[in-house]
Formats: sequence, structure tokens, C-alpha cells
Amino acid sequence: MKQLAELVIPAKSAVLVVDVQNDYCEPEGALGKAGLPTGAAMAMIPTLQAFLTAARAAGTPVIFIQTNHTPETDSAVWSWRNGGISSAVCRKNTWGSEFTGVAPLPDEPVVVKHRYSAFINTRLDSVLRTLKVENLIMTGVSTNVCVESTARHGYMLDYHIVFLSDCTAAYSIEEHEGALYNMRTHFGVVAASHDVTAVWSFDSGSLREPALRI
Amino acid sequence: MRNLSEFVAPSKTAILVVDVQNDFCEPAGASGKAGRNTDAAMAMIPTLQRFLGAAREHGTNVIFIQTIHEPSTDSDAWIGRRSNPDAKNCLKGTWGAEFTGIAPRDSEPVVIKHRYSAFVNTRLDSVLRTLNVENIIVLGVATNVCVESTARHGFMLDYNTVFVSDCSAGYDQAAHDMTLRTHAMHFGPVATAQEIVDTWAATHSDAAAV
Repeated sequence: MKQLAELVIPAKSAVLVVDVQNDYCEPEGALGKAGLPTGAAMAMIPTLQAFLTAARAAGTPVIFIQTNHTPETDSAVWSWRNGGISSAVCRKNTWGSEFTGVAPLPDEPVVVKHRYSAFINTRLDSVLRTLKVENLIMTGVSTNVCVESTARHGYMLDYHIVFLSDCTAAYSIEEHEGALYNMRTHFGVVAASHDVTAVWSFDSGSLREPALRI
Repeated sequence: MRNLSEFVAPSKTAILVVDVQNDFCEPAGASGKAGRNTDAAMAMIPTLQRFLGAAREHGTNVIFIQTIHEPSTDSDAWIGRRSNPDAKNCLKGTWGAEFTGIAPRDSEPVVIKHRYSAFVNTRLDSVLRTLNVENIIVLGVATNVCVESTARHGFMLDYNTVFVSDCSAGYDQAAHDMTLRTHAMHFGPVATAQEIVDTWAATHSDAAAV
């Protein structure tokens, strides 16, 4: 079994920030207005912000996954589910589809998706192969839907999965915990963000010249 | 063998307009400036414009495929195939990436791609399935590269695939002709724009007569 340190090596890893968008996170977004509690999502965002800062400092690529729904991918099957709620959120070029509390830097890729998994008919696999990524560090919302679907898909495409318990959020604790159970049991490693940043700061510290440490 | 009319029924068919973009078509685009002869591409465009006009009249879906290259998908394998890795084309946000002589209407999807085949890691299959499309009519530039790669891929994903001989163009007549020959032998019908428009007109007349 690989240790966490091997699964987060910056040159071989990428952080996927899944669906941290107003319609999924903000109380005024589509799901909040539909009555789903977005408290966990909003509460997770400062932890995610600090984690992204650490990832950038360590040189780990950060990739933003953004759901954009448009008529040409609102299939009958997709729209049928839940009375159309999935196709009614994150419409292209609306406030609801904008990122919440996080933003890509100019050189950070944004991969647009239109289903739960960020691998379904998107350029994500091309981006990861271009970056020579072997490990995915999963963050975002909601834990048990889009983050879990993407992590499952990624694992089955032969990426190692590190799933962050405190940089993901769902609309109930049961759903969140259920996803973490599945991840740790069948798909990869579940870790807290400080477990990963501790590896990065230890590694970067150990690379420094002793004189610079003083 | 089935009749062409079975492959172009508007409600089940989409036209894929592949890479009709300045860097591939205009003499001042990247390919033209690299010394490729873009005359055939520029000469094909009026025929394509008329064909798209007829397609819209008959209610056939039109989908624009647009190549956009950016660092996040410029893999070693992709960049390394060229002798000059700096010879880039269709970069995001540039004139070279814009369409040449044609434009999508508001309701017409644009599918962005970053490899030759428009199906490789793009949303094209989702769009076609949403539209309940069974048949694709492929055309654009270059005949033997992006149009052919897309046609082959589409057929192998179970779409009936019609190749439009006079709405496609390459930089080399022999390569263009070989693509059409291979397509006709192994992948699906090759037709002229006029043959397809005539088929739509005939089908439309039949329907009106009933």
C-alpha cells in the first residue's frame, strides 16, 4: 500500500476542485433556494482556500471543474431526474455557475462538465495526461454526488485517489460520511487537508539548505 | 445497402462542421503561412454556406466543431509530432481560431475540441445523444485529418456517417480523394451537397403529398 506522501507528490498530482459554484454552495443559489442546507459547503470554503494556497506553494497543479448546463446537453434522461433540478442549476453564464470563494489563477485550467463525473465527455483526461498526473486530490461539493462520481471514475481510469474529508461538503452529514466510507473502503485514501499540507511542508523543508533554515 | 434518404432524415441527423477556422482556411492563417495551399478550403466555403442554408431550411441540426489549443492540453505527444513545436494554431482567443465565412446561430451548439477527432474528450457525444441524433453528416477541413478522424470515430460509436465531398477540403488533392475512397469503402456514403439537398427536397415533397 502506498503511503500518503507518495500519493501527493506535487509533480505527479493534481487537486481537483469540483463544483464549488454558487448554485451548489450559496444559500441564495439554486439548491439553497430549493431548501437544501448549504451550511456545510459554506463552512468548508475557508479550509479549501487555505489548502489551495498550500497546494500552489508546493507546486501542485490545481484544476477547477465547473458545471455548465446548456440546452444541447439537457438530454431527456438527464432532465427527467428530480423533476429537472439538475439541468436547472449552473446554467452557462449565470451567477449560479460562478465559483464561490475560490478562483483559478490565469495558468490554472478550468474543465467544464455537464454530468456528475468530470470525466464524462470532457477534456479532463487530456489535461491530466498533459500534466503527467498520476494522483488526484479530490475537493468540492457535493461529497457524495459530483466529487464521489468523479473520484470513482478517476480511480477506474487508473488514477490514485486522495479524498479530502474537510475540503468536501454535502447537504447532510450522513451523505458526506457515506461517501467517505465508500472512498476509504474501495477507492483510495481519505485524508484531512492538514495531513497533505504536512507532507508538502515537510518535503519542502527537507529540501532546503541548512543555512536557509536559520 | 440503404438509400441516402435513410441517412439524412433531418430529425435524426446532425451536420458536423469541422474546423472551418482561419488558421486552417485563410491564406493568412497559420497553415497558409506555413506554406500549405489553402485554395481548396477557401474555394469550398461558398458551397458550404449554401449547404448550411438548405440544412437549416429543412430543419437538420448544425453543430460547429471548433479547435482550441491551450497549454493545458498541449501534451508532449501532441506537440512533439511537429518538426517545429512553435508552429501553433487555433490558440484560444485569437483570430486564427475564429470561423471562416460561416457562423453558428444562437441555437446551434459549438463543441470545442483539442485533438483531431471531435469525439476525443469532448462533449460531442452528449450533444448528439441529447438531440437523438443517429446520423452525422461530416464536412470541413482538412478532409484527411480532422474530418476523417471525426468521421471514423463517429462511425465506430454507431453513428451512420455521410461524408460531403464538396464541402470538405484539404491541402492536397490526392489525400482528399483517398479519404473519400476509404470512407465510401469502409465507413459510409460519400455524397455531394446537392445530392443531400435533393434528398431533403424529395423527402419533403413526399411528406407534403401524403
